[in-house]
Amino acid sequence: MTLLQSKLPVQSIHIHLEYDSKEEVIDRLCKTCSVGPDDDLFNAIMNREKEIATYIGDFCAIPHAHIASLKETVVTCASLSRPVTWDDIGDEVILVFLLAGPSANASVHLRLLSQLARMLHNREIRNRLIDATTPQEFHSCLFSKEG
Amino acid sequence: MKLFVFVLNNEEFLEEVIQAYIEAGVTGATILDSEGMGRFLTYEIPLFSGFKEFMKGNKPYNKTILSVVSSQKVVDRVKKLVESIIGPLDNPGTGIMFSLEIDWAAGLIRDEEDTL
Repeated sequence: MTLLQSKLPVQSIHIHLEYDSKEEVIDRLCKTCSVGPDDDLFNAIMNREKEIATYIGDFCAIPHAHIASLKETVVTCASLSRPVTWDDIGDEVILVFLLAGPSANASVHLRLLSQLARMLHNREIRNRLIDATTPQEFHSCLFSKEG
Repeated sequence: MKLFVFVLNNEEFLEEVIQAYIEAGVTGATILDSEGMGRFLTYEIPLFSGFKEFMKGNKPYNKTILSVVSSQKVVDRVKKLVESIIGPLDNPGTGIMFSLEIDWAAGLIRDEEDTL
């Protein structure tokens, strides 16, 4: 089992969510993360987005943030039933992977971010993820092709 | 013979470090401008810009010094002199030093007199 596989169980995968904005998508995914109630993950993620959007091309984005009280990195993801605009130049996103990592140690967070970026640049994987109709199918697509 | 590599994180010490090399008996070296992976990652790839905080204390640019030395004795002498300038290499942000055995080389000029 790879690092990403250990951090992304089927329960953390959400398929064909319907939202109209990036903020709504991020808010939904933040609520699914098991981060303590005192930590405002949504604001941390949005502040990072304001610095420079986490759109990586090809309808994919990887919003992320560091949270002081987190002990380990958490990952959740979603495919969207219709694209939402992600940045100021109008790039649209269908696949969203959200990461929150501890402020004290960035190594796992960095590894996951790099791995996701690499995987999502693979057109075949990307298309299969977009087409997946269940979390199980999405999970299989993600990890059957993982290198 | 050994390939002796030293990545000097703080370029400000370069002059003193090179003097230490000479004093230790290293008469030739190649000095390369180099860049830490952390700086490139956080400043050149937008996705990783949020990790700048973790790079604090690291120098964005550094120098990589390559030299061929005759023995471990020279390596030890350089290390001791360099650490007297930049501090112990165990301290984060000082540099990385290592050597590799060389099984063949050409173009090296030997100083027959300087064998001590």
